[in-house]
Amino acid sequence: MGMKRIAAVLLTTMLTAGSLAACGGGGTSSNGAASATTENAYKEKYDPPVTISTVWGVDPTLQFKNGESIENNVATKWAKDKLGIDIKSLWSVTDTNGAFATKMRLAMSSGQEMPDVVTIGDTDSQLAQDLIDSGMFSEVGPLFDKYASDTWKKAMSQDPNAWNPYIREGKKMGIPVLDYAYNHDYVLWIRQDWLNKLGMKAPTTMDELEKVMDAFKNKNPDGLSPDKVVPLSIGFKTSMNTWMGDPSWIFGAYGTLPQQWNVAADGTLQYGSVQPGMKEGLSKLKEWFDKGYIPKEAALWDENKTSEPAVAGTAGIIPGPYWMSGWPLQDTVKNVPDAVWKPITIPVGPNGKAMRHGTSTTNGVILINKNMKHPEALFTYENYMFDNLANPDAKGEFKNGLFKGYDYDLDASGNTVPIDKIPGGYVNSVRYLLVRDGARIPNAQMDALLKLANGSKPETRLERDVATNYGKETPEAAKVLMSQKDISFPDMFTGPTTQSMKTKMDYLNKIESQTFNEIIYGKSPIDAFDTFVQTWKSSGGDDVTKEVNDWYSSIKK
Amino acid sequence: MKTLKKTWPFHVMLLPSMIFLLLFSYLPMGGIVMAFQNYKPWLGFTGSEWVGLDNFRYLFERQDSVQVIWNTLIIAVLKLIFNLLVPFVFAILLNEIRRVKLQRTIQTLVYLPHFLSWVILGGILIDLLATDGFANRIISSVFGIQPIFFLGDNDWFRFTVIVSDVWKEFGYNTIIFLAALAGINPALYEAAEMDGATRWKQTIHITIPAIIPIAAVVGTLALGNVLNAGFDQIFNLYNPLVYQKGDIIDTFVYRTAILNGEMGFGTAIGLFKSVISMILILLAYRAAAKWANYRIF
Amino acid sequence: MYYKTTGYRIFNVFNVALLILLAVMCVVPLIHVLAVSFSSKAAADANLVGLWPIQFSVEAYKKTMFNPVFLHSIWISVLRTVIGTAITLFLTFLAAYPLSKEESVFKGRTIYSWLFVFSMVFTGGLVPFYIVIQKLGLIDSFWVLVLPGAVNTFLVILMMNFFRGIPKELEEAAFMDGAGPFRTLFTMYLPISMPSIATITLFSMVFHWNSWFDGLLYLNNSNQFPLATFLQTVIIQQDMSSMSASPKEMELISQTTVKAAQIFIGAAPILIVYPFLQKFFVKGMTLGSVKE
Repeated sequence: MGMKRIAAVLLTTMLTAGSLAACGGGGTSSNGAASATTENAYKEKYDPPVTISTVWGVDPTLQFKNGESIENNVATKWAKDKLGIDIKSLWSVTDTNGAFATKMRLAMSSGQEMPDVVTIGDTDSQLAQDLIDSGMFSEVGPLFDKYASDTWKKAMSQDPNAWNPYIREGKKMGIPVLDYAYNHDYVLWIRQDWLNKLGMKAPTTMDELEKVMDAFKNKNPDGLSPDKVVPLSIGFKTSMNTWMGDPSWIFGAYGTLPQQWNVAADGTLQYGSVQPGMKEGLSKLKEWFDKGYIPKEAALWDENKTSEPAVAGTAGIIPGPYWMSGWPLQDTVKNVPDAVWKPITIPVGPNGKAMRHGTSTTNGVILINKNMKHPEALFTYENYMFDNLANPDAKGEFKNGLFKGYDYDLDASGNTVPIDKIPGGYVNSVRYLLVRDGARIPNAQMDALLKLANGSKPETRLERDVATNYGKETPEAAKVLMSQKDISFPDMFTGPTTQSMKTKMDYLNKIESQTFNEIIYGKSPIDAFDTFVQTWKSSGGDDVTKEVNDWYSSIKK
Repeated sequence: MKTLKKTWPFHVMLLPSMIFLLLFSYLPMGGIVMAFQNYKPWLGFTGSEWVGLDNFRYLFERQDSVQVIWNTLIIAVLKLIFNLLVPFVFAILLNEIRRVKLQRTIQTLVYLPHFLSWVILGGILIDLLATDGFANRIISSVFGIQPIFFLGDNDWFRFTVIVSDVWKEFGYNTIIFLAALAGINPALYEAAEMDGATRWKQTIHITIPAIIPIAAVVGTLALGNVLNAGFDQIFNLYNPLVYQKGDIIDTFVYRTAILNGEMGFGTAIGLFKSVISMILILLAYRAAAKWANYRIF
Repeated sequence: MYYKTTGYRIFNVFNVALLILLAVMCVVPLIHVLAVSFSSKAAADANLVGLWPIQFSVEAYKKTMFNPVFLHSIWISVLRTVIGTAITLFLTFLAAYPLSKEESVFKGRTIYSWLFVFSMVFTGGLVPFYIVIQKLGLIDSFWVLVLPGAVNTFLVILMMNFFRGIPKELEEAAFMDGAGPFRTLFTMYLPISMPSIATITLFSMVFHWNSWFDGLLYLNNSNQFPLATFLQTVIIQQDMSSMSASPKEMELISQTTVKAAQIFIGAAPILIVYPFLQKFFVKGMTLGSVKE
């Protein structure tokens, strides 16, 4: 009752916002002339040191040792000693419940100093777009062309769409943070021991998949009663297009991927959830639901929930990333000693078609303040990371890991020790770096895994890392994943939220999830899909589609 | 009757609280102007564009606006009633237990769920209330009926939300009434006992009248919450199957305003809720003053 | 005596049975959390644990006990709860007394009480609040956890209503003896208000113990977080969809058993305090004893 009011205030305070002081103007960080760039401003090491100010959204699981903090740690000391770059922290916040975005907006509202460099993750993509709109951050295209190293430029060119979200009127306003490609692209994980006992082979088509699911359920090799088995563990609570327990490939078999923008035959973008293939996918899901192939509570299950029966040993198949044998499936054997999970390809539909949701190769953006005095220093820092940390062939100081005694350690004979043997404990010091995860080259991880899958010994830092920390089936899963490289389709709309999206999209998403789940649960007939498509179009979907395509053609120029 | 000539000590007593209110409540209240702006953090209060009532219009112009507001009202009002009624009755019943140790143990145990967050309880409830979960096994063995899809059925979702909220909070909410019960003068009961009144009569004529004022106070102040149907709870329990009956203003604002950093819109909703609450509190205050001749505050 | 009648005895049996049943229903989830905390990670992640640990393990407690940040956060929480409650109690006690007077006695009390209520209903929101906090220099200070929430309208009004229940004669007698309002308040009202003070104390403590949002937003360093904020950063599910997740990180994030242990340890102190406050609710403690 009364005290709950206070709890409610927490929410209200998040919701409501205002500003008392007349404190609008941003970009007040430094009053010197903007970027006093001379021809040889770029240096390998700055003497006297230059300062880069930044702000941090600290990952809640990030740990520190030796009394360090995000403001002052082995990475900041390293940057100062090695590169002559002084990383100055304006503030930091533990990033949970959107705290980083909130704090950033508050800092702007109260007219606080804006950082020289800020890295914003994709979870806060709206914040990144707002910051670009604020006009406080500078165009980065020319800086990147001028200062970025070849390694970095090559890495960036691996994904031609990487810059798309940050292009405004043809200008590149933020540098995309590259991530490993295919990181959340899913494969199907299947209980190979069940298949063996049943004498069946891994399904490659939807029909074969149905036979396998039926056998898992009704002739369960572990002797589980049919109502205890979840042949296919998927969930719809958050979305039908996610990363674990994801059902989107079922629609992919009929030629569409829901809740994302796909390229149509005519080259325009179309919204996957309103395409005819959805109807077939939905009736398939309804059929599976009625037969008990998918969880009875699928509508209530989020991603983590779908992994529970998989770990318990009662699920037969779960869609998920290639690294799932490292987490959480490695624990299944502790509950069911005979359990063996193997990755298999996404089954094809009646027309031989398969599609899956593909992940983007970027996971955030770096923005550079207009008033930053030495933007070239950022490039000194990142070039070093790309050349020495990201580059798999590098032989420099990072050849074993980032910082000795933090994320790796060596024994007397110079071999790396397992991470749980590091004195004082392992800390993920790569997250201390100025740019999230230091630097990553999109293809590097898959290349490393494929090399391991083909029987090579791990040699480079990255190869050793994936070999020891990524689960034993991971190289094989990577191979399975890459054998279907062409069926991965990322969301093609990555631009700023459009006007109609702001006002309409939530309602459209809501009726979509509602209709789809009601169809699967038999509360609405399958024809409700057609009504939904009509409503979707007339309630703003057409406007959104138009705006999305306006954006798409603007970046295609 | 002797009254005080000077009231200055009273003002002095209130001064510290007033300073706190001024600093942390009234000063920030200027921010309400955001409700009428398309607020951009980098433009601030002076620079942001004035949009009149656009933010409010958006709340009311969605196809599902009526449904969402209605859901909020129903869930919040029912919660308000039962979160008042259940602790009220529970406190009286608990007071009847004469073994002090047992009484205290029960009191401590019922207050436990208050300390578990909805993230945790949500996970437990999804399992407990599953169609083949514990609750349904009991129900089907006792009543022999089909399993109830408590969290996935529009007919049951509100019921589930209200019952689980009352279950979580009643022990905690009982505390106020227990304190009120402790304040009743034992002489009243002794006198009633002399007159040969039964315990039931004593309850009706002594106990209940003694704690009704506190119930009125708590109920009135709870009206300040009338459009907060419990974000944490709904957010952790709702799912696409029950959007129709379960989507409330706060979940909707979370999806549209918070995730998108639409601060002006968020402020507008907050203001809307405050105004409704204030009106209801005023009405309750007047009603209590008129019919019970009691000033709640 | 009423409790010797047959009717009352029958009622009593049902009443006790009903309340015990309710109590059991309330304690079940915490037992589940406790069982999870003592189970193996594999069993917990598989959701196999009911009310009894599976593959018994104290690993979670070892990890929790060796986590200096967690331990320090408990200390911060204790500190904020004690100091915060003391301040709130003082302010509430002081403010409630004049408010409990009739308008005829204390002209202006109605304006004051509406000022309290209005501040409870309307809020300016986060942005202006943050600016005020910042201008006062409270960012990254311990005091940001205690000062902004120090005045709580709900508690003031509750206390005021308890004061109104105190017979006027007592106060008049004190005034007769020449005591001023301050002395009356502290020598006469204080001792007889123990049940209500216990209530206010409890509410205020629980509020402080459970608050997490202020710590998250106004403290920069997670080493200074109070327990509730710490737990919030642990319990909340991260949005994986756009994180560059790897098995290593997922392992860190999904420490089901450690979370359970932390939730349990986190709830323990406030549960231990409760029985101590409870004794103030005992019947006959209040006005009856004053008569002597």
